[in-house]
Amino acid sequence: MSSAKRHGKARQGRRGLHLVLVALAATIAALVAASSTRADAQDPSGADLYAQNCAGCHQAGGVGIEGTFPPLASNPAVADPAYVGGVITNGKSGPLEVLGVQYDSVMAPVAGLSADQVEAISEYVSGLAGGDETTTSTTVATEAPTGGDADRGRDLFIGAKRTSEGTSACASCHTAGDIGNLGGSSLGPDLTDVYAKLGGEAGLSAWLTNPPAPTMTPIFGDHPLTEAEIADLVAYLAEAPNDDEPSDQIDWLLLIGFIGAVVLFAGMAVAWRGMRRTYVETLRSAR
Amino acid sequence: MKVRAQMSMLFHMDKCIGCHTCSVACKNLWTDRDGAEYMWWNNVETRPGTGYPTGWEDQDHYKGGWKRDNKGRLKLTLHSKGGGVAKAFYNPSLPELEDYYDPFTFRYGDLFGAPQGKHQPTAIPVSKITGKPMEINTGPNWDDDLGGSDIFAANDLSMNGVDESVRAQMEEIERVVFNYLPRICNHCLNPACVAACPSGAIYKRGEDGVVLVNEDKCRGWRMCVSGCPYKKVYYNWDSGKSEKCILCFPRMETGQAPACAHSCVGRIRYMGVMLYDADQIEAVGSLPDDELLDAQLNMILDPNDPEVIAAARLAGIDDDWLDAARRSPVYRFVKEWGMAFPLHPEFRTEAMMFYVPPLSPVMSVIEDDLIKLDLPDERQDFELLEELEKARLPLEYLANLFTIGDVEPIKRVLRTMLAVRTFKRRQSVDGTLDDATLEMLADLDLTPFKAEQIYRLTTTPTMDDRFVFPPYHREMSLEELGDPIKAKGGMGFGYRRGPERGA
Repeated sequence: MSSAKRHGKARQGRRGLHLVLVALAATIAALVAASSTRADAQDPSGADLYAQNCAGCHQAGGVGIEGTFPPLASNPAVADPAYVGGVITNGKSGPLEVLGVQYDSVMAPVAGLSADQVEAISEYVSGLAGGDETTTSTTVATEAPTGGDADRGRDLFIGAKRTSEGTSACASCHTAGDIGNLGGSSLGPDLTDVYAKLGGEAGLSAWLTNPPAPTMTPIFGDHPLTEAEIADLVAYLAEAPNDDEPSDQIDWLLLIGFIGAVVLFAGMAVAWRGMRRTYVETLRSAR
Repeated sequence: MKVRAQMSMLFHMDKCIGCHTCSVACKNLWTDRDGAEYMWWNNVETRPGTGYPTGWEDQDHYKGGWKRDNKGRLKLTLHSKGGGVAKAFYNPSLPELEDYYDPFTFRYGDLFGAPQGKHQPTAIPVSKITGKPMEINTGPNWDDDLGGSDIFAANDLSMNGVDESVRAQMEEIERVVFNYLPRICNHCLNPACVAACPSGAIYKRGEDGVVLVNEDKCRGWRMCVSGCPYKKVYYNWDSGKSEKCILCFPRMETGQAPACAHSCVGRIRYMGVMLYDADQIEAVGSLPDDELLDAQLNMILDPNDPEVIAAARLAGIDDDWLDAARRSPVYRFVKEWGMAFPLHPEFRTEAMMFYVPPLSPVMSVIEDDLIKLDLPDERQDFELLEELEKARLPLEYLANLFTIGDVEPIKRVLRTMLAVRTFKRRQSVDGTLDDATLEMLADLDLTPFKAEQIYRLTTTPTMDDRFVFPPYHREMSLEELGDPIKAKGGMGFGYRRGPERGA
């Protein structure tokens, strides 16, 4: 084949490639445009996003819960949207003083938000900073569901009873005081002293109403716990740290396992006597 | 009526001399491979004895075959469907290698390589499986090797029901009795191995009823091994698959007798087509024990009956096969003359290999010390007919093997054989037939013509008389599947391909 011919062919190929690239670019552009317009059309406002993702702890209107979840309303620190955005994406922990009250707890990064959504929330929250009608609301927020039953809560925690929405039991990720090493899981944090950490009944209830942790949001977002369930769980978790004796369940398990094995082998020795004896062995031994 | 064809073999045990040529022919052709050393698709058992594998008839231990439950339904002895799942990974009813035998050879090099010494060198026996020196304490026909040992022969289940004094006498030295029981796969009509296989790897092929294992579908569950009451499916430990007698179908398809039958020195084996009614398989299998044998023999259809012929054509059996069925020597022995029975019909698999029970010298066992029969010479022929209870091989024993304990059919066959002998002796030695002989024949429903036929097919059959194979028309099925010219110059077997392994 001559070099001219080969050259011609290559050029032809390149022209084809151009066409393909142009078509591809056009398609992508169209798709991006379509998706962005759709996103615009459907994006909830900053207020809606706040209600979905933040109000569980910081309460509607950002009044917070005194001693547990710092208020956002009238809080000068949140006037800066960039600061708020940083806290949403990175979380925040450690001692903090807001409006003369000391706080010391952990806020996990809020999962599943796009940059646009974070921005929208930040705008909304920074708007609350100068709020004026909010200072009295804290007392309302502390009125959490009460009268839960610790035993029912324990059942829910370990999965003996299903939640109304069928979500997985707490013990599949967490452990707590008397569940012991055998009952709970070490995937999530130990919840033994979560009651104290989150500021008691009000804080814990608020947390459970709309769990903001990145791994819990996808689970409980669409399948929330009912108020009664939350009350039961809170009642249980409030008692859990009181039971701080070391668990003796492992010793029990060892003992039961050992006795079980002895019984099993003894049963096999009796029931399966001669089970694998060959026919020839039977004849010889009968002789 | 659903007519099907079955290639059946008949063993004339009265002619078997126990030479094991059949076993060796089969071994050389099919099981001379790794993992198959211990298998004897064809074996000859010296009886009384426990056979190979040891005690295969003891279904309390091996759980083979079918049983009739309380409601009269047919059930696998091995397990129910649920039980099969529960025991999928643990089947205690399997025979172990020790129940067969550890195949051995001898280290012949020891004979040549031994240093000079005071004693003659010996060849050490070594296991063909492990290659290590071993002590030989069982073999594929240990009863013969040990002359009916008190471990094995004494435990022959078919001796149940035989009088204690007779048993005692049979175990005494110099009075030991042998007969030989050649066994191959029975290619049953209702095979328990097929029913027990969880992979559906075993099938009974349509044209001639040969039961085969599909080596590609077999997953080595080994349920067939315990399911078969005759223990004629074997597990190959090398390929991890089950294997069994294939009735030498590649030979039959080319018009040759199976290797065991072809090589038979005593010419005891006959082969031919049997037509049977497949609609009756389940009903017959679920009958009570006392009706089982007759019903099974009644399933075999008369190839001369126009109705049967019409139904057979409808079922796609071609005229070559019907013609072969009409000439089948097995049909004559089993149906026309009523001289042969399947082995252990009580296993309910409806075995399709048939046995003519053997005659044996008569001796009195009534008086303890008497060995010879005290009969006047001139009347001996006819007395023998009436003295069958004193045969050295007890009637009950043969009845336990072939007729579910019923001695009457066995007696009838033995009398028929004795009558034919007497008839021929009168004819050829005396030159005349007296009235007593003719009367004896008539009593047994025999005519001189029929007796002559039995005599001829028993004593002087040619190869073509013994083996009547229909043309298999493989060329036609080959044409349907592909171009037969492509196979020209080939060996006809394709390429050897190892089976797929693993579950």
